[in-house]
Parts: sequence; C-alpha cells; structure tokens
Amino acid sequence: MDSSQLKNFLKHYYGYSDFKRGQSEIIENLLEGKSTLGILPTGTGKSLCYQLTGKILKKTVIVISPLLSLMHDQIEQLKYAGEKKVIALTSELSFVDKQMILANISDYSFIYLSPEMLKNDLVEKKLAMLSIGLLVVDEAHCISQWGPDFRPDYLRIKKFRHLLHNPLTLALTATATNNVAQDIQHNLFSNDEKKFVVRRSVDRPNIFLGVHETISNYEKNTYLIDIVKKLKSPGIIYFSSKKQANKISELLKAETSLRIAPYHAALSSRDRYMTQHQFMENQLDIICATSAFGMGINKKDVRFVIHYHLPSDLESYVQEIGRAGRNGERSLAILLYTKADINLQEQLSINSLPDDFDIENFQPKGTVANVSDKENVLQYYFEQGIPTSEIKQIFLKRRQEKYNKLMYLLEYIETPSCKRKFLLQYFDEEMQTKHGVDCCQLKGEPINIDYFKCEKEKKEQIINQVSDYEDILDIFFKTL
Amino acid sequence: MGEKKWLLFFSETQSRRPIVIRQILCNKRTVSNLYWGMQYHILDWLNVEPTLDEKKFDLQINKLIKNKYLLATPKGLVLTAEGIFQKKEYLDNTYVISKPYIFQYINEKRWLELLPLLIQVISELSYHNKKYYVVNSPLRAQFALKKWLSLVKDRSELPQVLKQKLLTFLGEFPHEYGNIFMALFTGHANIGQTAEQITVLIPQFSKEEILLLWRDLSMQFAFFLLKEDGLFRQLIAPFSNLSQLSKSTEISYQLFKENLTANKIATQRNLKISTIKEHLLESAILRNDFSYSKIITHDDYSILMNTFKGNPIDWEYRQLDNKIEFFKFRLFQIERSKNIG
Ligand SMILES: [Zn+2]
Repeated sequence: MDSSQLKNFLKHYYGYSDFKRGQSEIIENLLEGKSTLGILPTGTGKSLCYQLTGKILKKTVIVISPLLSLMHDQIEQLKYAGEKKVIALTSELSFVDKQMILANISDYSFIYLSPEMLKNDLVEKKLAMLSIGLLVVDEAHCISQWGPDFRPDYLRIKKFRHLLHNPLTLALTATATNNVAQDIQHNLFSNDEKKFVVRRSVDRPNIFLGVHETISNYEKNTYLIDIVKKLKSPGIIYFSSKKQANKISELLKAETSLRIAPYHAALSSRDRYMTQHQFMENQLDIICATSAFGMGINKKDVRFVIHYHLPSDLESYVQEIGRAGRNGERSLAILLYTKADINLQEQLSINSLPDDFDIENFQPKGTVANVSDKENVLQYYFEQGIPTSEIKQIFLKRRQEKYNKLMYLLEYIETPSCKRKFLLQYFDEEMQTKHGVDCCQLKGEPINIDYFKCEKEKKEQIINQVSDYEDILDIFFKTL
Repeated sequence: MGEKKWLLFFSETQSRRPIVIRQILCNKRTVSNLYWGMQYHILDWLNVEPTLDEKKFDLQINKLIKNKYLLATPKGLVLTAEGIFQKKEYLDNTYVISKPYIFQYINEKRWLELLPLLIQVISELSYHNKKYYVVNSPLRAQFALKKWLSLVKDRSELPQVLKQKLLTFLGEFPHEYGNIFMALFTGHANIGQTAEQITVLIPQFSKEEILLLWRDLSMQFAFFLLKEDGLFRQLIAPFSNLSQLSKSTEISYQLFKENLTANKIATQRNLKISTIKEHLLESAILRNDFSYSKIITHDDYSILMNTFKGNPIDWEYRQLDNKIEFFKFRLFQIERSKNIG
C-alpha cells in the first residue's frame, strides 16, 4: 500500500487529511508485517496507529493496557468514532458478564485486555482461537523491570504472544530511554525476530518550559493565584495528593472568577465523567488534578500545565506537560517548587517500593486483583523463587534508580543552561532547534507571564443558576 | 452535622438499640432484626444505607450520646428533650428521603447505573446522533439497556414518551427538586453538573442533600415507571422485587400459602425446620396477608390471650411456662403488634 492509499483510509475513517509524524511509518511497517516498537510522545495519536491498521486489516486487534482509566478513555474515543465492536476484558467485570463476552468474543473488532487477564486460562484459550490481526502492547515501558512503572504481569505477554502464534505486534510507549527500549524488545520479542523501532522526538517546541521556586507554600499559592488570573485558559494543574488538589481548587475558586474543578480517583465515576467532559467542552477553565487525569484525554487547546508538586521523574513530567498545546499553539509548562517538595516526593517515591522490612515480613498470597501495589510486585519475585537477600538487592537498586531519577529532575530545575536541551539529553536526543525567547526560562530569569496572557477575549458566561428542568427536558428530547 | 440524621430513627418514648437501626438500614435480615425493626416502626428503611460503615455509625451514635441528644437506658437509647428539638430542627431544614420503602423493591445500584445511560441514549436518539461520549457506566448497565432497546419496535417514540413521563413525574415535586434532579444528568449537547457544582448555585442544599435527592427521586421514578404499563416497566422489572421477601423466604412463603405445613415445606425443600420457621416469621413481619390461624390453633389463641395483656413488646416468653412453642408465641406477638401498629 502506498502512502496516498493510506491517506485515503485516514480521510475515510477519521476525516484527517494528514498523518502526524511517526504514525504513517508505524502503520506502513505493520502493513508490511513488521512488528514494531513505537516511541511517540503523548498527544501524537498513538492509538490511531493500531485503530487504523485494524480497520485496514479487517482482523481482530487485541490491546493490552495497564490502566483502566486509560482503557476506558480509548474505548470511549473508538466508540465516539463510530466503532461499536469494542470490548474491555478487565477484572472489573462480573463473572456473568465475562462469560457472556467470552462466548461472543469473535464478534469484537477491538479487544482491550488488562494485564492481569493474562493469568486467566479461559481468556487465553478463547483468544488463542481467534485470528489475530494485531497485538498491541500499550504503555510498553511497564515491561521493563528497571523502569518506574514495572508491572510483573507484563512479563507474561511474551508467553501469551507465543500462544497466539506470535501475531504481528505493536509495542507503544510515550517515552523510553535507549536502555528501556532495549528492555522492551528483549522482553516482548524472540531473539530471532527482526525488530523495528519508530521513535519520535519527545520535544514539543511550542511548549515553553519554566520553573518557579518559592520559599514557602504560602508564596507558592500567591504566585499561583496571580498567574492563573493572567494566563489564557484552559489549563491543568497537577498535584501529588487528592487532598491538595481539592484544597487548591477551593482556594483558586475563592480567589479568582475562573471555573475550576478537582479531578482525582476519589471522585465518583459520575463526577469524573462530568468534570472531564465539561473541561473538554470548555465549560471549565482549570482542572486541579492528580496524575489520574488526562491519560486519554484528547483536548487540543490546553494552554498551560502547572505542576504544584514535583512529578516523580522527567518521564512523567514530559508526559504530563505534553497535554498542553496539542494544536501547536504556544503553550506554557511551569514547575512550581519549594525545597520542602523534594522531601515530599522522595517519601512518595520511596514509600511506593517495598523496603527490607516489607520483604522480610511478606506473606505470599493467592492472586490479588490490584496489580500495581507493592505487595503484588513482591508476590511476583517470590513466585519466581528468588532468595530474600536477592529481592532486597533488587529493590535497593530500584530505590536507587528512583532516587537518581529524582536527582535528574532536580538537575533540570537547577540547570543554568537551556532546560529543553537538558530534557532532550536525558532522553538520548539531540536538540534540533536553538534556545531563544520561545524556548525556556533560564535560571535566574523571571517567566514572562504577559507573553502567555489572556487576550481579553469575551469569556463564556458563567452559569449562575441551575436551569429549569422543563427547559432541560426540551433540550434533551427533541420532539416534533 | 452528619450524625444528626440518626436522630430520625430514635423515639422520645421507646428505647431503641442502635445496632438494630444499623442492621435495618443495611438490610441485615435476621428475624430478630426484623422483629425489632417492626417494633421500632423503621422497617420502611430496610436497605436505604446498604454501605453504612459500622465503625463510623457507632462513633456518630456515641457523639449523639455525648452531646446529650440521646440517653442510654437498659433497653437502648431514647431521645432527650434536646434530642427531640434537634430532631425536629433536622427534619425542618434537611432533605430526607421521602419514600424509603422503595429501596426494598428496586435494586438501587443497578438502577442508578442505568438511569443516566437511559436518559443520555434516548436524548441522543432524538437527535439521531451517534457520535457522543457515553456516560461512565458498567457493562452490565449497557447490556441491560441494549437488550431492552432490542425489544422496542418503534424507537422514534421513545424520546416523547420518556420526556412526558419525566414531566408528569417531576410535576409532583417542588419545582426546585426537579431542577436539581435534571441538572445531574447528561444529555445531547448538555453535560450534567456535579453535586459540588449544584450546591454552589443552590446553597440551601448541601452536597449530601443533593445526592440524597438524586437517590430518592431516581428510586421514585423507577417505582413510577414500574406501576405504569408499557415499555419502561420491562426495563425496570429485572431490577425489581415487589415481594419484599428474600428469594428463599419467598419460596417457603408461597408453599405456606398453598397450605403446606412448616414440616412439609422443610421436607420438600430439604431445609431445616428452624430455617423454614425463620422464613415464616420474616414473612409475617414483612407481609400483611399472613394467615396466623394456619399455625396458631384455636386453643393456642385462648392460652395466649389469657396469658398476655397490654403492649406486646413487653411480653415475655417464660410467662407461658412452655405451654406453647416459642415460634407460635413470636407469631402471636407479631400479629398483635401489627394490630396496634
Ligand atoms: Zn531553552
């Protein structure tokens, strides 16, 4: 298939006339039967790669994805685009629903799987009977044991893939250093397979990079209030705790006339839907979120991403700021920080890993539903029959890795030279552009907020009363 | 303020045990709970708080005692004068679920998953729009709706019918309730609001009250649809149980109505006789068509009536000197309590 034919498909199914960089290379590879590792930053339409390939191949696509919220967002988008034969097989399903889906599994064009489903014999058996066009491993960096998001269940994928007779495979990740990329290939493909890598730069030249250090949280809040009043919305502010997201959301609501809502895992699923979609429809100016927000959101006009707390590492930082400026317009990423935040992030990082005490007192259990917590990671190592002393070494090393990653983040904050250059070096990339006023804030310089200011455009009117229900019913139900 | 709502379940004259109240609210149907729930006149509240946190509830009751709204007596807790005042003030100023008994008839969880989906899907249907983001809903709700839609012959009528039903239903409530209720739904080109957002616009209603109103009106709407004939009835029927009895109890009770004795029921169902007696007691408490005379003979009645006078709640079994089995005594007590009730 040549590229003009491919573009016709793109136009036909999605209405776009051009691919984003990286997409067509990946799809062409796949259509030529080459399994591929795609390293594409967030916002570059990773899911389009396999969705379109699936439609062209007209065969079942299986997508393994570790995060339920991400999976649901992607399914929502597929359904929105008119693809109704989509299903998610996850531990959320009841036994009856699971049976029903499995009985009709061949009806579905896109089957999303959460990794713990790979342990289920019946699921394996049913899927092995299908003719699989493409196997997709989303968030493939989770397979790397040295990466911060390691998920033991991901190591089962290689065996699972073998069971499916090694179908054409696409591994996707947003960021991967060279080491992680090698690890992914090693853990997913067999040695005799030819492997292809399509890598797109993590650089997003339209996002200005800035850091603002304050000596206290009080000062941090004052600065935050000041800038969000000036900045052009919509924007996202990230927090490392739900409590803080709620608190600052309230503070900003009280201090500004902006429409603001918190978003985190403690909200009901109803509230999460409302908040996310109000934001997408520009009915909210700012979301105060934890990292639970934005995995799959496809909002093009986010103008700024502010981090109220330190992210855990540069990988997550790049992913999170990548939600700004997807339409290519000039956007802003600011990292706020006080010296005390370092301790906070260090605690968060280190607490997420088991320590010697946890390891010595670990009681192996049966299968547990939630794979992400530290007990399950431990469970994995114990199942492998690795001696306790060795497990201790493994986690010592991982703590060290986490600590190093935090140190890189601090170096990013402290670097006297171009922040973009630093960031790109971290991901083994060369900077293609030159530092300038649009690039980043150099240490010691102020961030020129006026540059990103809201051009006093007419704001949508703020709703100040609940609509009359009879009017709502008239709008909801169009009748003759 | 959260704890004050429990004052509603206490009386100024009758001592009540908080554990019974808690068990009734979360639908723990032992005969003893049901019996005491009946004596406290709170059986309408069965299953209204299925996820009630035991520890939190106990702490809140302790707080009410500490604040001297409730007084401990040997038989439980009773409202103090201040408690009576606080209860009245709470009732005057707070949204309280108005038809709690519906929570026994309709599976709240399943219905509340389905209703927002139903409204959105039919709203988009009326615009012939297929491109929209479906509200978060579990798969089973999506399956249930799909199954129901496949039964509908002419879908083009659905928007008009549903709209009319909502108008009629909401017309029965203060206008503001309707406004709050509908603001929580998502429909065509119209994203719903969170309770948090509504409370900013209508500060007289707290976030908790808005969520209570949402549950209350949603459940009443289900009941409203269920009572009518037609399509919507078929949607709700799978989530409803109008018999009030649990499944196994219902089977025993049907056999009892077919004139089988407790012993025969036990043999036929291969269950212990004590279990069947519990089923029958549960039926007697929850249903008003129980024929007591099928179990309590004429002679039993004479003995019982000669032994007991006054309020059935004060009767004690040992007064009978083992002349009649406890099962019959309890049934008689239930019958007489209901007559007073
Ligand atoms: Zn620069």
